[in-house]
Amino acid sequence: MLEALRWVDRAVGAVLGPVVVAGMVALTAVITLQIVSRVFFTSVSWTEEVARFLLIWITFLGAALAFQQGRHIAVKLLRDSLPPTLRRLMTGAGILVTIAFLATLTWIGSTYMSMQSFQKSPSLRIPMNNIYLVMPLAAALMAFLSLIDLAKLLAGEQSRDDKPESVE
Amino acid sequence: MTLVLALLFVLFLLMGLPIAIVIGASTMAALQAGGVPLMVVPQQMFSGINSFALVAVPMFVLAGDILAQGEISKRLIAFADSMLGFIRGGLSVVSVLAGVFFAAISGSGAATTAAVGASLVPELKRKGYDPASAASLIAAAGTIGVVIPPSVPMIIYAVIAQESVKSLFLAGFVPGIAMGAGLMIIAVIQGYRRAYPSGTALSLKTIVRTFLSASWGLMAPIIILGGIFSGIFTPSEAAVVAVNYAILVSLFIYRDLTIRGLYQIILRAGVTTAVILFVIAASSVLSWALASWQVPNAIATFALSLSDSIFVLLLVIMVLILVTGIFLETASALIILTPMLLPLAAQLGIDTVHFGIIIVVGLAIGMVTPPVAINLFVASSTTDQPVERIARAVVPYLIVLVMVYLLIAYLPLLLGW
Repeated sequence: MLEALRWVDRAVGAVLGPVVVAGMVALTAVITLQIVSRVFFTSVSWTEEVARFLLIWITFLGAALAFQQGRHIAVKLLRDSLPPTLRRLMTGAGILVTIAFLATLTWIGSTYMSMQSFQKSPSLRIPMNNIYLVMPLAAALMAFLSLIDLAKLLAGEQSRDDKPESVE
Repeated sequence: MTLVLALLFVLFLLMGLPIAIVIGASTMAALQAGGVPLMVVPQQMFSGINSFALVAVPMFVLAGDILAQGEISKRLIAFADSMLGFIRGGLSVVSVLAGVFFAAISGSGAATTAAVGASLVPELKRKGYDPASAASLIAAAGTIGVVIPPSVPMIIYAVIAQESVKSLFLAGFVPGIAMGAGLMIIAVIQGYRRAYPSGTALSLKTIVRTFLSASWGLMAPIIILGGIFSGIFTPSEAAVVAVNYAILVSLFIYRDLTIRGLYQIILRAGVTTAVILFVIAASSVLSWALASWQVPNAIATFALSLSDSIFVLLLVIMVLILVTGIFLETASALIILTPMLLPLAAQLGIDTVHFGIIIVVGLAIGMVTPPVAINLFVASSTTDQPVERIARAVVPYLIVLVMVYLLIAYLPLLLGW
């Protein structure tokens, strides 16, 4: 059972990685196109909009990937200085808070998405729910990964390996 | 509601949850308790990151990561060495100058620390420099990475404060150079005290040779910053130009980057970006809630009731920024503090750009103050020195950075700018 969960966990990471890279490459390409077309030809109107939407998708899916890799920034000083039993209790409580938040986010995210189903983007006329879809999707993925964490904790395993993230 | 929010925030933070979840969960609970419809959560999360200016964040992170590895940083360091290596303790002075150079390419403190540390520390050890002290100086010089443009924290500040990224970038040069100068003075004093050797003799020929050899690296800031300040590119576009330039130079000129390596760098930059932007998205909801409960105004009114002296209040603000920087990572601290302090700064008559410099430099110093000190961790992992030893050795540099910080904050006020 745990072996299967671990496999699913890794699979989520393996799928999200190429997607995030593709988003980054597309973002670079679309702004390169914006610059080239403005300098040499006439400027295209839709590139900024596409860039902003790509950024939104990269943010949410990348956040899910960071979650899978345990790379979100957290202050773990107090938790790590606790005795093992207390630490496990606190980790468990933390996972429950996380699941509650992410489940609510999935729910309100999908409600928001369906509320905006008639809205279209100003430049490309894309239905905006295509963009808003990413929030319930990423939140559901992270909630699911948290459930795996909970199962692992109950089985007495180490929590997701947290590494400090180099961000400024 | 504000009390619920504050209590849950502190509780979740101490439980060790990811900052974005801490912010999101505590805000959501407070909104629910206050009877505010939760639809505001997705709405604010999207609008917080639906910004073309923020596109510069992933692109500057990516460009800096590509340029930090390999040949470009080695050649920049050789050029810095040809100019300042002749001084006693010259190699440590060079590590500061290399940090300043690299700051003009990279928008992050950790990337600057990593780039300089990886190339210089073996050399510093070989020449008999105290390794922990050398590593701590490189970490301290790494803070300049977010002060001299480009700078990821300045982009984030500009977006939150609705200020132009360009004006913040322009205002970063002098403070960044002042920080570098302060660190160099300490490095020279230590060089004489510890009887460090002097390195490369000063010769015009070496300078010209290393300058030419480093020219691809030196061109990067000219293209990035020149493009922004001349108005050819927006900052976001300049960041993309920097990415293309970095990829071309690394793949085809120095050929020290493989496609596989590039994939890994892009993946890492994507995740780094997502971590920062997810915090921004979550805290957009927090800022909205705080603003609707009039909290920033209440903070301003409360502070002004304590004292009406701009000098006293600015000192209080700076202490608050430094203390926050000790316990929180730079981007998160910036995203939380900026909306809370802006109304107070405005009432004190502090210019928005100047206030941005104050907050960014203060949080940059937080990169070398344990327990949350990203530059010390990076310096430790690139040099194999224990963090505790680096943290002790950083104290003199920390003191000089704080002195420069006071100067940066107060001098413009005294001169009436």
